[in-house]
Amino acid sequence: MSSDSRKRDWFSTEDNGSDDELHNSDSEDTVVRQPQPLVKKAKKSTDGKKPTKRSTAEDNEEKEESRVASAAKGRTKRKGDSILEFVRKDGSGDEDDEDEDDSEEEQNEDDEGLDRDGNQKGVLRRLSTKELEDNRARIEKSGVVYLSRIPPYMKPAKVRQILSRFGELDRVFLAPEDPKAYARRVRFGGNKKRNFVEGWIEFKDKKKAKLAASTLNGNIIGGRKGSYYYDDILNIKYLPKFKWHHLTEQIAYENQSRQAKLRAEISQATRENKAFIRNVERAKMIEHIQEKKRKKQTGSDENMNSESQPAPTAGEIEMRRNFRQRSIVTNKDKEETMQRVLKNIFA
Amino acid sequence: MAIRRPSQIQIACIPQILKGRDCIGGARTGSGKTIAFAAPILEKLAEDPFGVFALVLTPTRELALQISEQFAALGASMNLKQAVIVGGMDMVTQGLALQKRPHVVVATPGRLADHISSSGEEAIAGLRRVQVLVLDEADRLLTPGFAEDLEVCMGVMTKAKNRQTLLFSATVSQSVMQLKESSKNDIFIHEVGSNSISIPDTLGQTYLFIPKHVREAYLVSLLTLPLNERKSAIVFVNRATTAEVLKRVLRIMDVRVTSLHAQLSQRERMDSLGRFRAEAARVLVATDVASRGLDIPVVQMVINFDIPADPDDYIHRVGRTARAGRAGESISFVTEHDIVRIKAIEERVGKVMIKYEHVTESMVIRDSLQQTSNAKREALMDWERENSGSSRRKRKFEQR
Repeated sequence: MSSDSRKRDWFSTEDNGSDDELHNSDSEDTVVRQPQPLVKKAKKSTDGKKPTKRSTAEDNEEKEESRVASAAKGRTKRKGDSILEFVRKDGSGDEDDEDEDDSEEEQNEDDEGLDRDGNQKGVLRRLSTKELEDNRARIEKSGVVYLSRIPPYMKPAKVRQILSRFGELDRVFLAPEDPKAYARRVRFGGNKKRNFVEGWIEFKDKKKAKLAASTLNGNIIGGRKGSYYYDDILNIKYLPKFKWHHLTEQIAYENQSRQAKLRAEISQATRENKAFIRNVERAKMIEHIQEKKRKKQTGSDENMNSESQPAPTAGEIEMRRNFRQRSIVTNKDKEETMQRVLKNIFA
Repeated sequence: MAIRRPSQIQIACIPQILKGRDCIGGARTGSGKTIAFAAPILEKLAEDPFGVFALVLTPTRELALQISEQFAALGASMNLKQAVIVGGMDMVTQGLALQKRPHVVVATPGRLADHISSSGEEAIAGLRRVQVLVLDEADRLLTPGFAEDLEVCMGVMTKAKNRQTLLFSATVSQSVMQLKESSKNDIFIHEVGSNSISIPDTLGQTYLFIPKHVREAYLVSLLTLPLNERKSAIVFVNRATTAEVLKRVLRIMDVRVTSLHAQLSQRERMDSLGRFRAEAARVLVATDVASRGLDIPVVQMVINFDIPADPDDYIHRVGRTARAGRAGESISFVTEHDIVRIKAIEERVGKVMIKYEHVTESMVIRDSLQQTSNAKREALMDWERENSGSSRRKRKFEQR
């Protein structure tokens, strides 16, 4: 656990798992398609000690939700989960194991959930006007650049290192390659390292973002001559009028609408089921009545010796409704080629 | 492979085939028809092994693979060379295999016709001297769907009078039977009795009469019954889409399930059949692709989720269980639309099905109705989403 102080700046698909919990129909696929960054922050307070893991997925969800809500409406928010405190710290920059990184992230998230001021978890607090203003200003000031191509196997840490020359970065999201492509490569003996296809990087100051884009676009990465990425050319663009939340909006909306649709579908299914149950009950009732009737009849019929009817056969049951019957199809070989083939089978 | 005593069809057909007569063989499902033609072919081949001696045509890929396995098992001691020519696999390797003149070629008509028209003379030269042609599941092969491909295949082969032709099926149709009259050759016909007993005696046939939209719930109840919990089952449906949806529903309901239908790639088809054979999956949801010929001894239950349009298909479907004297049961879900069909089937097999008693309405309502319908909606939505692949970005990923 040497990496407490590391920055946590990128998300793999697994990382978004907590979000998925909300919508169990959500598969990894979507997550890959749509970046869905979680907001992370580093806390110096936890740096020294080992964070204890006590998270549940719901915990994370709750936080996520509440944060989103507060960011959007600015009404309520949780004490320990301040959006005003996004502190990004550059770490050592030599992360190797992604999984380790992810778990690290989770653990820190848990700690966030814990109170800082001794407040209980789950207690929401109204944002002050000033905080709200600050928040808005912070978003207003930030700028996002887009990398249309990530040099082969370059990790988020390296991207961060390259770009932070120009100014302080906030969030970085690199979209991992298609799992199928990865599997294919590995199967045919290719590189097992994780590859990324494109990425978004948020600068705290959009001026810096513009500067970075105009400087780096179309240029080699450079640095030391022998370094692995020396000759790679970056394709980087500043996205005007584009904020980080635009990236997450779409997926949030899709998830929401999917949930709504599923709920509607299920309620429809429930209605259908209820109708079925009602019919079953009715059938039982009718059967019961008829049973009784028959008993009565046979009782009275014994005296007059008419034909007793033990059970109604299929013909006697009253037809209420005719269902369209599916047709029977048998193999009829009437085609010309068929005839020719058949002729050729035996001499 | 231990065969102590030959089955009826083997006793009847093997000597006749060895004599060189053409043959039409009809026997109930699971009665050893494959060995009935494989054994004499190998016997004759051993006298003078050469080029392509025998060609076996089957309607489905899986069946071709299975037959080739049986040839391999029987011919292991005589160093038999064989090739399987089926769709969905690499055409070049198949062409090379044909060039090596294997003793036996097992093929599906479509891919073989493809080779004949595109692989060049070198590959198909062997086929010109084929001595024995076997049409397994002949009544299925001799339908319009296969006609064109069959014509191409027949075109390159030796003339009918110079080769031996063997037709086998559990359901020999009238049109196949009429071939006897039209030919000059003396054709040997083996048919076990009339049509009525193409179904083994050891098979119990039952039905459930239920509304169409609660079939899934009944299926889940049926499969999770303590009685059936350990049984291996094949669920037959009429369409590949139904198979896919049903697989997803059952998977959500925690049934170990796999599927086999034509919309899968050949690799997936082989994988899922392999999983089912190895009992890694307990339930196989399949279309009629799996209805003929497949010999999976562990199958104890066949469930007809949809009733087939052709009564013959029913016979082949339920023939996947109760093989070689084992016991088995079939359960058909009869909906309000299937009464005519089920009557036709009962007439065809000459037996009246009895009601399946172990699943009751109250049980379904209590245990599986709501969960299954939820699962179905969920499965449909998932599938829709996967299919649509709406985002441009996903395509971008796949390109790279």
